Order: sequence, then structure tokens, then C-alpha cells
Amino acid sequence: MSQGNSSLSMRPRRLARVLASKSFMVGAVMASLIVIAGVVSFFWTPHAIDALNVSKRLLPPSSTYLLGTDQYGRDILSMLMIGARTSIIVALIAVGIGIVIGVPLGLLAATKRGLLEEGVMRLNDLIFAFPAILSAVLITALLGPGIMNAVIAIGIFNIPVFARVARGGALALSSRDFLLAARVAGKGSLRITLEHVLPNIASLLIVQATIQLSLGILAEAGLSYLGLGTQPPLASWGRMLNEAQTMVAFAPQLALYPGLAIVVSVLGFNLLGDGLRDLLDPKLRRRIA
Amino acid sequence: MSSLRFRAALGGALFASALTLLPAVMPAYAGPADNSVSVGMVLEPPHLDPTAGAAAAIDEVTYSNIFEGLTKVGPDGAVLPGLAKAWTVSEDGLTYTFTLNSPVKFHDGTPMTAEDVKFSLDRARTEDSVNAQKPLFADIESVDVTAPDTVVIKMKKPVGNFLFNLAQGDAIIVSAKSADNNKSMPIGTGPFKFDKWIQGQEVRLVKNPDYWGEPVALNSASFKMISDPNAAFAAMMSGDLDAFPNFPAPETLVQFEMDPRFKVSIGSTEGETILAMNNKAGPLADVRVRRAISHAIDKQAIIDGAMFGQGTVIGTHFAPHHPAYVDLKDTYALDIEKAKALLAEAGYPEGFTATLKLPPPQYARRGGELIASDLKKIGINLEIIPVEWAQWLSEAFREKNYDFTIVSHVEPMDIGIYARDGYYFNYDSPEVKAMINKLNATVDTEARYALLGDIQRKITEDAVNVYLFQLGKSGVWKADLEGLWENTPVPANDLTKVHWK
Repeated sequence: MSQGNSSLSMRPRRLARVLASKSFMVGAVMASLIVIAGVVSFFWTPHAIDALNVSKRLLPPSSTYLLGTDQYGRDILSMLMIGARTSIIVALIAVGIGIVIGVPLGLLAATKRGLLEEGVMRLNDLIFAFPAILSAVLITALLGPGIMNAVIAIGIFNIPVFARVARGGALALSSRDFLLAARVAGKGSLRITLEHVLPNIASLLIVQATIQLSLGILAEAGLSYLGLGTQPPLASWGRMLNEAQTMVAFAPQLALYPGLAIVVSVLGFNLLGDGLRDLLDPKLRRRIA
Repeated sequence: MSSLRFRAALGGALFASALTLLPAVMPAYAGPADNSVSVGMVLEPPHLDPTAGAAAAIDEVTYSNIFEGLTKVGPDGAVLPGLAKAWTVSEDGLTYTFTLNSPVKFHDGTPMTAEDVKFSLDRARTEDSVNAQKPLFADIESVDVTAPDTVVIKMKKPVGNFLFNLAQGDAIIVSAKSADNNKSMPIGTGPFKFDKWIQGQEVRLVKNPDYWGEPVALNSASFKMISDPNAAFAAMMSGDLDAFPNFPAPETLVQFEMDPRFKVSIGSTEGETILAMNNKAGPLADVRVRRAISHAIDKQAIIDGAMFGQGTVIGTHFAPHHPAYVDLKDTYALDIEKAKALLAEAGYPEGFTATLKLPPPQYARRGGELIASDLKKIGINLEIIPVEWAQWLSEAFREKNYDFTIVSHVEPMDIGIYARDGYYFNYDSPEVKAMINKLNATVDTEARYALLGDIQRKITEDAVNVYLFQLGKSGVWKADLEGLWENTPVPANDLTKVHWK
């Protein structure tokens, strides 16, 4: 891996690095496949998935049904596309919750220090201490199953992640010369945070967001598998897996496709996150490694 | 040292011989060493007092196992002697004289006498009784004790199937001393005693060593609650469960049939599975809307899609294997255009939005998706809300806070619920009430069947609910387990004859 020296003529080298980073490329291809499938499903799917037709159930792949049909006669490809949409939306909003609440908390802790920092970070530790997926199960069991509650449950556990990353990044910057200069120039801590700290930790946050996205997809699938997430008629990979389970003996493809979709998306976003980390901040990678 | 080494060598030898013996011993061994049985159930009982609840799961644990009535229902639906060893009925059908078995003891040691019978039946029919099937006792004039082992029941009018009514779980005999605690600590006279209840998991029973009748073969039994079809399948396959009398994953039956370790039994139940409609909720109050919905649902598709063919199409709230059944399934043949026309006539040409609350059984969860898809075609958008069983019992059944729900009515001969005030359908028909009253006063079989036919036609005409199908009973149990019921004439898991080969 190339060193992150601050050469000014970086453009061509960066492109070369992007292309050379295998994990980034593979991740980008896999993730964009899922994202494109999800986006397209807003406008078009091969078949409607809310019109069930039992007489056409469990059909083998054909030109009409590219991946065949499920136990209710729905087109599996259409189900997968809408499942991609569900997964990404849930994961995106959950990451959004984490960033919107977690990042300001982390920055606040880094700026104010003292008792406030202790309070915020210990609260984070408290949330961290609970296994995320179990607590998400608890939350959805309390609030009732449903896609909104799944989003909230997954989102809550993104908050401490982003708070930590933001605080850690901000603290690492705090003794840097340009921040001292800004302070000497009379900028207030809010301005310094917004104008200098935030842009400098943005890459950290982007990497973290990508990784949390894959965890969010996994969590949505997990909750839906348990019947606590997405409810019918909306499709979800987790629910497809659950429903396919008792039919594995005679229709293994029903479990195979959503399983593959989950693998591709989780692996894709993880590789993408890793690749982004390499590209955006090689020093960080070295430090973490 | 030497003795230690010797012991180690001996241990090794024992271990090796155990290993070699194992294959030889395994096939001859039938059933667990402690002679117990673990039985799977989809729904957990809300409590264990059959005299205070409508949930069939209560009877599925307690009937004939913990509690007994004067009479009992056999596996074929026939009325058999229970705590009463014999009875006589007067010519006019108004006086029943029961002779009790004795000595019979409750599980807490108190003797069961004619006084307890009087107490139990009087308790069930008082004004403030919480019995879910109070109409069973409505025609009793008086219950009198004439001897410690003799009870005389006088009727207001003859009731055709009174002996069958007394065999219901709701008519079991309890002790005055323990009756109030039966919900959590059931004390009956049956061959099994209540051991413990781990909420959400299992109810355990142990053999009652002081049982008055023929002792049971099993030492203990546990009922394990598993509503998830995946988990049910895994629990049977792994051997955690010995039997699942109402197996929730019909699509896996083929695998059990091919597996010599298991026996699959396909039988009938008294379970009329219906799409219940709240007859007072908004558009559903209009009979044309209810008829439109009945026309829009493809019942056979639900049997195929949700139950993998296990079930029989019905057109009314009546078991098709009963002689008084009237075939009304063509009344609301699948006809989307007609359904749309009826909806438009009722003032809902664009349809409407409503909720569909689904309890855990698969017929509901899977059938619900198909029904939502069917009704969407006529513009009715259903929001699917999955609910737990306890939640269903309180929200839908008691509070009547629902628009649509799917449930199976597993009690035998339960058409009388259409005459009940405040029952969860919110159906109120003076005609049906009059017919049920007349039915209760009719003894002649022909006349009863004619009346039952009229009631079936009336509720179908009023499209009170959408009558989907008669629930099939697909049971799975280990091949060397014998004595479980093939059919379900009353909701029960009668373990009295169950034994390992």
C-alpha cells in the first residue's frame, strides 16, 4: 500500500490507487448491484408482488419468471429487488439516526470535556454493553413488530458507534497546529468544530457509515427473520428466508436466493468500507492495524 | 499409583464396551428411560382453568389429563363414562341421575363426592360465572345430591345432547377448596397431576399415583409451546418432541412420512377456520360489503397456499363431517366483478382501508397474506398486524378491537355462538337467536338437523364471516408412540391411553 504522504499532485495517483484496491472495486460492484436493484424497484419490477397467485406457485425459472416463483406464486426476482430496497432504506435511515444524534454528541464531548464528556461516553458504554441485535429484538418486541420500529431499534445502536468515532477523531485533531491557529484567530469552539474538525473527520465517518450500513442490512434481515421487522405485504430478505426454511426439502431455491442477496450486500458494503478506509486515510488503517 | 492406573484401564474398558454395546441396544430401546412424553402445541394457554376461558389450548393441556367431567368424549366423538360410572335418563328427558365412581380423590387429597359435582355445575351456571360456554348449562333447573355418590340433575326442558355437553372441558368437576386457584395451580381428579408451568415454554404434568381409574402408562408428560413452524419442524426432527398432534408446518409432512422414525396422521377437527369480521366496524356493518368480501376470496387457494392442501372448503360455520351439515360453499363463489358491484352498491366503489389482526397459527399468518392480496383486487387495503395469542384474546376476542381476523373455532357444535350477545363478531340477529332457542328445546333429531340447516343458511346469507375451510388435523409423532387421537372431536390431547411400544 502506498504511503499517505501529502503530495499535491495526487489526482492521477488516487485514481490508480482506486483501481488497484481490489477490495474497494469488488465491494463497489457488489454494493452498487444491490443499490441499483433497490432503486429500480421503485419504478419497475418484473411482476407485482402484492398480487398472489397460488396456482402459479413454486414455478421453476423461466423467461417470464427469471428466478421462478415462491410458495404464493410471487416472482422471486421482484421480491429480491423490493427486499433490496427495504434493506437499504432501513439501514440508511438507521445510519442516519446514528450520525445525526451520535456525531454531535461525540463532538460535544470532545469540545466540552469534563463531566459532560464522562456522562455522554458512559451512556454510550451502557448502550454498547448490550448486544445490539438482542436489544433490537427487545425494542421491537416492546414497540410491536414493524418496519419503523426496526429502524428505530437499529438506529439506537448506531448512536454510540458514531459518537465514539466523532469524539476520537476530534480529540486526535485537538492538538494540531491548524486548530490552535484557529483558536488564536478568535474562532469560537462551535465554528472551529464545524469548519475545521468536522471536515477533517468526515472520511472517518464515511468509512464507519459504510460498515454500519452492512450491519444495518444484516440486522434488518435478522429482525425480519424473527418476524419482528418488515411485515407483509412488503418483501424482506429475512422474512423470505424464514418462510423458505420449512420448504428447504423441496424448494431450496427459496432460501438460497435471499441468502445470497444478504451475503452479497453485507460483503459488498464491508469491502467497500474497507476499501474506502484504505483510500481515504491510509494512516488510519495503519494505526488500527 | 497402580490402583489408579487400574481404574483408568477399567474405565477405558467400560467405555469401549459401552460403545460396542450401543448400536446393539439402540434399536430395541423404545421411548425415553423415564417413560415420559413431550408434546408440542402451537398456542400457549392463557391459564389452566377450563371453566374460565375460551382458549382451546387450556383444554389441550388439561382435558382428561388433569380434569375430568361426569362424562368424557372418546377419540371417535362418542360420549363415554367419566367421573359418573353410570346414568339414567327419565322418560321425559328432564331428569338425569348420575352414579359416581368412588372413591375418587382430587390431587390435593380431598375426596370427590356428589357435593363437588353440585358445586361445580352450580358454579358454572351462576349469574357471575366466568364460564366461556355458559349456554351449555342454561337449561339446568337444579342439581341435587341424593347420596354421597348420586347426583340428580333436573332440566327446564329436554336438551338433546346434554350428556355431550357435560363432557366438554367447560363442565369439568372441581373442588370448592381449590377452584379459585385452578388458573395457575389446577387441581382435578385426572390421571395426571399438574407439576409446573414455565411460562412461554412448557407445562409439565406427572402421573397421579392415587388415580381412581385405570392408571396411565406414562410417568410424566410435558406440553411444549412452539408456534414457529421452523422451530416445530426442528424440534420434531431432532427428537426434542415426541409428538405434535396439530403440526403447524403442513409442507414438511412429506419429509416425516418418508422418515421411518415418525408416523403422520391426517384426521379431522371441529375447527371451522373463518375470516372473522367485526359486524359493527364501519363498512363491515353493511351486509353487502360482507357479501362482496365473501365473493372476493379464493378459499381453495388459501387451503393450497397456506395449508398445502390440508383442509376442506366449507360454506358455513359447521363441520362437513356432521350429518346436519349443509353444503353452502357455492353461495359465495369467487367472483371479483360481483364483489366490486356489491361494494359499489354499498357506497364503497373505491373500497376502503381496514386492519387484519393475525394470531400466531400458520393458517392465520399465511392465509392473511393471501386474503390481503385477494381483497386488494376489489379495493380493500388491509394492514396486516401480527399479534401474539394473549394479545389476540384480549384485543380481538374480548375488546372486539379489530376489523378482520382469522381464527379457527375448534369447539364442536359451536354454531350457538351466533346467538350470543357481545360475542366478538358483533353479530346480532333476532332470527338466529330465536332459531337457537328453538333448537335447544328440540329433542327430535330430524327436527334438530332441519333447524341446524336453517341456522347455517341464515348466517351464510348474512355473510357474518367468510367461511374459509375446515381445519385438517395433521399430527406427527414418533412411530413407537401409541394411543394419541387421530381426530379431534373436542380440543384435547388426551394422554390417558398413550404409551411407548
